[in-house]
Amino acid sequence: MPEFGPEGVGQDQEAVETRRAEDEARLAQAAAKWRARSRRVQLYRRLLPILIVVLAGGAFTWTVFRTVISGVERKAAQSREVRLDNPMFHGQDAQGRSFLIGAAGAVRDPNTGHFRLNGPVLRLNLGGRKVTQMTADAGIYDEVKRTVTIGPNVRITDGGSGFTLTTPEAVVDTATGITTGNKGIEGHGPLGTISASSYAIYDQGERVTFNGSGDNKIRGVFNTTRSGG
Amino acid sequence: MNRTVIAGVSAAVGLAVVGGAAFAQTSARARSNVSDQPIMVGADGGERTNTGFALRGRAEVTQGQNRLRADSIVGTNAEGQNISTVTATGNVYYVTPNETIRGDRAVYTVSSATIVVTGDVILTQGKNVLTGGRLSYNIDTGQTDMAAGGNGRIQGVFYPQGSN
Repeated sequence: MPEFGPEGVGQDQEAVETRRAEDEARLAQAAAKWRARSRRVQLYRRLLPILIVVLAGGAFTWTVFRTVISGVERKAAQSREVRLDNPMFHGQDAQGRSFLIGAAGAVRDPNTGHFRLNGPVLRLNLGGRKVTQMTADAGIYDEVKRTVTIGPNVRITDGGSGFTLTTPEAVVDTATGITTGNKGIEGHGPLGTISASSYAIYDQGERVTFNGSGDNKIRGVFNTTRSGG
Repeated sequence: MNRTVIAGVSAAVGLAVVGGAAFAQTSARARSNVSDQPIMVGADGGERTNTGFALRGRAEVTQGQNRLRADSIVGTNAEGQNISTVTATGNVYYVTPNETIRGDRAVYTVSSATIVVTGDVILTQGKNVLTGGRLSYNIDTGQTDMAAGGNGRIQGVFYPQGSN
């Protein structure tokens, strides 16, 4: 068994310490790497949920924004009013008789799609022997329902009898050619005068019916041949 | 027909004999110009037609103090002209200040101022009653001509003046 002198012992001790120092240095280096990695992991664990929330919120916000924008764009497109000067609508009723709806001006209501008529003039039974004409201060033309509601100050010149009828409102069904009103009516003509609660004009003016309401009967004063009018 | 006319004349003579119920002639002066007056109409509903007008439901025509009521009343006129004929049907009543006439149908011709009532006619003046089938009545003069209808006869009840 070899024996070492004091010098050999000192060299071993130095080598051990050196090795120990190197080990501690490696350990410290590994620990530093580990801590650095741990910090990155902790950082990612905080950042990723935030990133997920931000991405999800952004996607949701974008979806809502596009929806609102589309609605606004669609509404803006619909809100454009259509104005017509001296418009005229020609049509035919179920019996093929022509009628005309004219006005000094018309505006298409963007909300309802109806035409608001200014100074409407309706002529029924065009081409017939006697034309019935209606005028009023204003009116509404509903293309879908095919009705024209005119008033106030409706004045109906009944070509069939020569009567001039005045009423607050008249509703013309352009599909059937029937005109109705239930806000009272007064008329005068060669035959005399008449007043009623409601009325209906059939056959493009060829036939006019009057009705009372409850105790209010229709009333009229007719001239006789002898009285001479 | 002759029989009915004769019957009517006989009735008129009878009225003259009893001296009170003047069905035949009443005061023409009081009735004058009734047919010249305008016709006032009233009804629940009506219709202007090419030939005039039609009334239905509580229909009535008033001219002066005379009133014609019926279920339905139709007035006709020439085109653009005034009313020339009024025809009432169903529960017809023609009421004047002096007489009440009931029948099934009445035709009033404005130009002749004559109303002809037919179908179970009942003429009432005061307490006097005359029934027949056809009555012609001049609304201006009050001249009345009653005739029997079909196989019926003219019948009447007359109260002499002064009787109860």
